Amino acid sequence: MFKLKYQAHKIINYVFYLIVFVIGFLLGFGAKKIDFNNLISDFLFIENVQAYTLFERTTGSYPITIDENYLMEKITLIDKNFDLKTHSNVICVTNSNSNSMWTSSEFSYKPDGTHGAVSGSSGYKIDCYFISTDTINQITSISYSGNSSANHNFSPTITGDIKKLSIMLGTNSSSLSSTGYMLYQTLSSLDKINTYSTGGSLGVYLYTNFDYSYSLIKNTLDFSKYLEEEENIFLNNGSIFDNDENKNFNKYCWNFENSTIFTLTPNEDTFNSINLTDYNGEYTFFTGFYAFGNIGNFQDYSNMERGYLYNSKVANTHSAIDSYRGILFENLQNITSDFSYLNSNDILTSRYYNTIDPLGDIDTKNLNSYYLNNLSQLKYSHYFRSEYYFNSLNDVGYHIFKYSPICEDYTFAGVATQKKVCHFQSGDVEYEDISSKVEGNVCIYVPNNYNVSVLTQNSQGGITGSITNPNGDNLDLNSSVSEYDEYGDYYDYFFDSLPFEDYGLSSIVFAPLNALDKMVTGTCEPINLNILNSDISLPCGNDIFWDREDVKPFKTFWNMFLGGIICYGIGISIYRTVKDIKDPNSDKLEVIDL
Amino acid sequence: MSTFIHGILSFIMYLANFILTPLNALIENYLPNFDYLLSCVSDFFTYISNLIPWVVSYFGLSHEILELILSYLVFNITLPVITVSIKFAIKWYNSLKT
Repeated sequence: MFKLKYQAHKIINYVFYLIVFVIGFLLGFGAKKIDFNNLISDFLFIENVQAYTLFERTTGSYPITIDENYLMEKITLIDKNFDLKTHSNVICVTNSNSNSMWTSSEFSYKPDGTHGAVSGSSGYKIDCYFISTDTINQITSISYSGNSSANHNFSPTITGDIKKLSIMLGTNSSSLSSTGYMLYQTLSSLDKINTYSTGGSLGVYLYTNFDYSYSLIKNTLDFSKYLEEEENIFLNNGSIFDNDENKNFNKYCWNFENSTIFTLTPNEDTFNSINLTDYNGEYTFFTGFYAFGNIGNFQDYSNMERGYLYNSKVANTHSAIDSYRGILFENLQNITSDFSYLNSNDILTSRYYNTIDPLGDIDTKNLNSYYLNNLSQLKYSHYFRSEYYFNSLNDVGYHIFKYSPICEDYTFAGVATQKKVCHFQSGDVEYEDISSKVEGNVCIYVPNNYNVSVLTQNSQGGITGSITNPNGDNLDLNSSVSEYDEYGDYYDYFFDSLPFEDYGLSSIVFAPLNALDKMVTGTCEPINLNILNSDISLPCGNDIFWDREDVKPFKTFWNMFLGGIICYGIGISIYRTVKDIKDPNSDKLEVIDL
Repeated sequence: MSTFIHGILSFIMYLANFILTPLNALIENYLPNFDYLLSCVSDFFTYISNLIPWVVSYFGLSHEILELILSYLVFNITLPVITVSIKFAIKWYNSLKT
């Protein structure tokens, strides 16, 4: 006994000395190794960039393309901690005229750490800013002035966590060399980005996981693929309806009766990636929620399978297709004549560049061609700009959200040739409904990292309706229902990632753990039995007793009483366990008996 | 701490899975009737597990108390494993020394 204690004491001492030594080394000896005078700020360089990591100009003599794989590879190389997930908002700036040329002064710190100009003096430069979501959320306004033939001025002023990657290529404007530099820099603020273009090319490129982009986007990168593995919020080239068992999503169905308030809340900052790839250089659409309005100007499109809500900055006619900003409608063929669409005139263009809230752009005070109905309301929330409100009357249910980018050839009324139209995921709800009037269940598919609550209420404010859980069993809805709120995050996580097996001997061995899991995370459902051709339902204790208003005081007391007894029992048990653990000769191992 | 306990549990479960996988495969391939029996038992456990929330609902226990019970049970099945392992290591060290 003494020997064991002595050994343990020595081991603890050794560990302590080791910790002290390491801390001392870091504070003293190790720190002295760093010569701050020679530190090249926070710049990192990659020399001899072999592949062009450039953009394609829309016009001009120097077509430039970018290889996003290469870019990401290089960024990761110079910053192992770089995480596109946390810095998923990317703004890249380049120019077409001489202002785009980097100059020797920009390389006053040379890649080898010495000061001075780099030979070659100048070349093309592209600055990409990778901005964290927290930081970019500070942006309250973004102004963008100019058009394709005038100056561009993009000027967000933000302070925060910003990574800047400058790609400097070539030695002069007429001949781009195949070598160059990448300059990587951590910024604490982004005061302003000014670019000037006189050559007719677009000078500012935005890659964001929200939608500042719109018509600014021409040729863009698809960064979403770097996020698919981690986020796993995408479906693989298929409709969500192909497989209801898809574990990335939960299906929620409910009956509409009068109004509905629908809320989605992400459990975490989820990257609602937008695939900004511009298919064949034609169109890029932003897909958000669906809205409803009168058919108005869109009657020409009545034969289309799809239409879209648009805000045309350039023109208010649908001929200016490439300037549309879209909220895609689907299933328009189901729309009846009394159905309405939003008219572009109803969209507040003043919010064009400083919001991503598509519905926020709708001027609800000056509606003239559609009606937002007050019977139901849909509220959508995601991590950045959180709230979308939808109101619809009898028209709920014509709308389907898609998650995967879908590009299809499309025939527009008045346009002879088919156009490739893409819509991309943004909203994370798939809304399924088939009928012209919503009478049956309406189902949505929600990524399982979202909390969902659905509240239905009638015009008098009374609560009606029902929600159906993912298993298809109807649940009475007395108040807002949150699928996850009642579970602690910790236990959710704790059991979620454990390697449960549900077959053979494994399932039996792990049954106790499963039972523990169910105890905390399970939701009570009535037991339905069929005995002698008669259905018997055994309701949950909460439903018949504990959730009653008049029982709540007793429930508090009951929990205090029973909780006290349980706490006492647990305390006694832990005391015994610890006592047993302290016994060096005891090798007893407690397990849960089946 | 939760990560640590989680890691221990994961390790044990992976180990159990590793040991049981060939057994499961053997049973599945060569003793199909027994496999069916096991699946029945498994289904029974699943059914029972699904009834637990129903039973718990009659006790009127708050979520906090349920979490407390769960914490206790997790503690009870993880800590002894750790301590016994440490004891074993020290015993082994002592016996080597002598």
